[in-house]
Amino acid sequence: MPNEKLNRRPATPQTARSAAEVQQWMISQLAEELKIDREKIKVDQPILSFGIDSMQIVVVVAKLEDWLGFRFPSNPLEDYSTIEELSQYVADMSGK
Amino acid sequence: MQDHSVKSQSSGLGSFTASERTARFLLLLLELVLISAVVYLFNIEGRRHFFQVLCVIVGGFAIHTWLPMRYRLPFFALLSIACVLFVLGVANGLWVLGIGGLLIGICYLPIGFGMRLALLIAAGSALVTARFHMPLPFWPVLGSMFMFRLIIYVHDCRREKVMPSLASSISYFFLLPNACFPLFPVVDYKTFRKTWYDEDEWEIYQRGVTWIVRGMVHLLLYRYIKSNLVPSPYELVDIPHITVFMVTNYALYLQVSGQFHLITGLLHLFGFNLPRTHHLFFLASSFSDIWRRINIYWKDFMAKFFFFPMFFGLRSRGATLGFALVSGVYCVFVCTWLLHSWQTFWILGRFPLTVNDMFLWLGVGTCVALNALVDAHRTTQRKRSLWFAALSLSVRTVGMFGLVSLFWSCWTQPGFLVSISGVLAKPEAGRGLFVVSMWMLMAIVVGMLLILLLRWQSARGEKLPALDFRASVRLHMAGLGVVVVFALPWSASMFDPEIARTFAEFQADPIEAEVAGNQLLGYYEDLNMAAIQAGPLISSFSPQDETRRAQAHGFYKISRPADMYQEVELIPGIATELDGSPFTVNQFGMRDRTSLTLLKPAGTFRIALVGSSIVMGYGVSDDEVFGRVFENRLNSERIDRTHRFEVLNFGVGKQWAPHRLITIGRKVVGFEPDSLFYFAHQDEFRELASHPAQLIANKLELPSQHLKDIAVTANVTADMAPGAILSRLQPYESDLLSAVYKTIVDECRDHGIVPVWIYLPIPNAGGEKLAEKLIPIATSAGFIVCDLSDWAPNQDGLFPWKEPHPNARGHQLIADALMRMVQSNPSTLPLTQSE
Repeated sequence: MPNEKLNRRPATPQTARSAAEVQQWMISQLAEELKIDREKIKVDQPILSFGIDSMQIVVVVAKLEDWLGFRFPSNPLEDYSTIEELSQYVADMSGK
Repeated sequence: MQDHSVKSQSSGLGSFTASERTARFLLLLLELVLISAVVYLFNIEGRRHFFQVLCVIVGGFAIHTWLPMRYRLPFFALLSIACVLFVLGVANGLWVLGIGGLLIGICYLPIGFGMRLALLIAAGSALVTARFHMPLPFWPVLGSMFMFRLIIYVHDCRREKVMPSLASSISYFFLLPNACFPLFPVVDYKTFRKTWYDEDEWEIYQRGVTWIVRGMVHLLLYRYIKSNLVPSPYELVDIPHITVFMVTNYALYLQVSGQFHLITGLLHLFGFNLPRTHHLFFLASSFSDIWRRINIYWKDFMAKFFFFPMFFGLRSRGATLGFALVSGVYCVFVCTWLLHSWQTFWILGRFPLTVNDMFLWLGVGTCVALNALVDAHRTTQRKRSLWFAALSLSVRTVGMFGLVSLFWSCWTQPGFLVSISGVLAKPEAGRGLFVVSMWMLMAIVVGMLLILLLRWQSARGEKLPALDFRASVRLHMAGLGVVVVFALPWSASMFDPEIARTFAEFQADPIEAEVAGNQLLGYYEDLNMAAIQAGPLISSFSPQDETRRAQAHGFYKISRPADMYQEVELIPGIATELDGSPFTVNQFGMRDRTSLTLLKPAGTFRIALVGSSIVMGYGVSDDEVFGRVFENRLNSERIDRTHRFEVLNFGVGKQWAPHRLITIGRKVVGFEPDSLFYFAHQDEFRELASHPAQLIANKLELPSQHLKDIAVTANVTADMAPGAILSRLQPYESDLLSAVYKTIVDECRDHGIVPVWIYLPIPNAGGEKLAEKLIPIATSAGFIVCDLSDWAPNQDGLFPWKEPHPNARGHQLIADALMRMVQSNPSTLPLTQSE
């Protein structure tokens, strides 16, 4: 799905991460934030379907930004709704 | 995202055999018939013609379920269009469809996005102007369909490669139940498309039935709370009553949650598996928690369009998490404040922006922002014992319920904080606070025990099993069946007549009369006032609406039935025209200023006027009533330099001496008046025997010992026939009047009020010798007696109507007479007493 804003302003993460690394990081963070088992988090399910709310989303995304050394110009979950899609997007951005 | 067009290609019929599908369909249909019966028997949302629309929806469901998947969305779109025409009639319906079609058409124009947006803004501006200047009946429905959905639709379509199908767009904007529910949840377009038949269709339909039933339960609870539990504004004189008011006032939000459950449940019947709109919002345990539990669609809309853009916009410019978070939250609450007015504008035609509301929303925004900051910076969860965790959650839940109730009361009742502060300043406030603290403590203990029980069950792996399709159907059919059986007219014979009567009143919707009379009680109730002007077809099904409208003239327009003691009262909050004159009733049900407070301001001398329709001011405008004129003169002529005078008008038409006695005890004394001016005319003996006779016959307690003594003397008992009670009381009319007067004087003395009895005869209304009879009774009861028989030496032109109601000049003369009276008789205004 196209996201003109994100694609228009590509920013390169300072620390290159692979899609698998981002996936693992996201699973850990969501499990901690939502206080659920890691096994319950499926990478191909929309992140919003796990019951995360807007306040928790911005906290997780801010931590992801700090971890990557990179700032998203808009809400990445609007276009990359699953962990799989988001991880691939971030990996593509960092060229890994 | 798999959307309508893609899913239309699939069969959508599931894996069931034809016979299983038929069985499931018939079970669902039976549930819907029972739901329709409950809606009919309890007159649920009768003002919105919901029963008629529900019949159309059930019929539509019966056809829709058997259509091939590719035809279902177009069928839903056509049914939605038909529903608009059915509810609003052809003329107004075509306006909605025409203007709506134009707006949708602009979105499909093969031009650049910027041009389309510019055209939409131009069209929107023209519509705003038209809404301001042309009060047409279709605006609430049109506005509720497009005021938010167009923003979402344009935003979501911009991100798509191809425009959605026309059926999808029409379905989204003209959503089937919207024609009769102008207050509608803000459905997200992406979710609307994504959730369409996203799981087994029978599960979706049954979930819809569950939500419809839940919505009806909320609406019936709302009806019960509003008509039975919310204290009247007169009762807000102590902490316990104020607390009950706060809690029940917040509980009135059940109307909104009920409507939203109904609406989304109905959409489930057509495959739209929309998420829940509310989730146990009374059990929120923090500010962030209430925000994510109450009106979830609104929260999602605000997050999508305001919170995330503000947050990520600031973050991408280098802002810290905390700053971006707080700014995002404030942006949401400022926009919530403005958009609530935007919603009011489209539904009711006015754009209320008050500083009070702004501060309230900013206050809540500050609390949510602080809460979000704490949550965001909380690194690790502290290990606590199960007991402590349960206690903590229970305290937070009870505390949050109290805070939200307080916010709700401040939002819906301007001046509420002032009332509270006045009551808190009273010496007896401490006892009230103690009582309320005990209630809260009890709630906390019960909450803690429930939490422990749930956690204990959870630890043992015990969970309530999720109901499958058939179990859910059985449960709903049993519940609905029982309700229908008890609500049928013949069931009344099984109950005690009093219970049957109360139940029948509840079924007929006792608050409908208040709503019809424009009673206001807060933002959502205000919005729910928006009347659906039904077309001729739907009106023909509900002739009682037309009858009610036709009857609503004269005194019936401004009054409503009350209990047996009061019999009739003015409708609080009504603002209308009566015989061509503006007639405003304040929140206390008085023909008086809306700015009036129960608490007497310091340095104020209050005079309470009690009397008939003449005191109420029938036939003259608000500012011409003699009470208002008298007050203006008392203040402008500086009768006393140390006091400001407030003259409170408790006059009500079609009420006589026994009713006034009740008014004084229930309403007047709460305002702490210094003097009470009781007005008597030639009709002072009316209903003196019939009123207590009615109370006795209905086994109700007489309102004073003086009256009870006469009942004993007259030898009447509750087991006598009503006619016998009346005939035995009639010879005692003078004694009954004396008893009423003595009770009033006793009540006044108990509260430090000076009782003044004023004879104000109506010229040419007979009863020339009545003063000679009345004055000794009033004098012996203990009143200061004033005779204003000469208030109208020349009555020519003072009474332009058939009924004995003076015009503005007549009221001016009464005010003049009152001024002469207080100047010649200073004991009627004991100014030193009020200091």
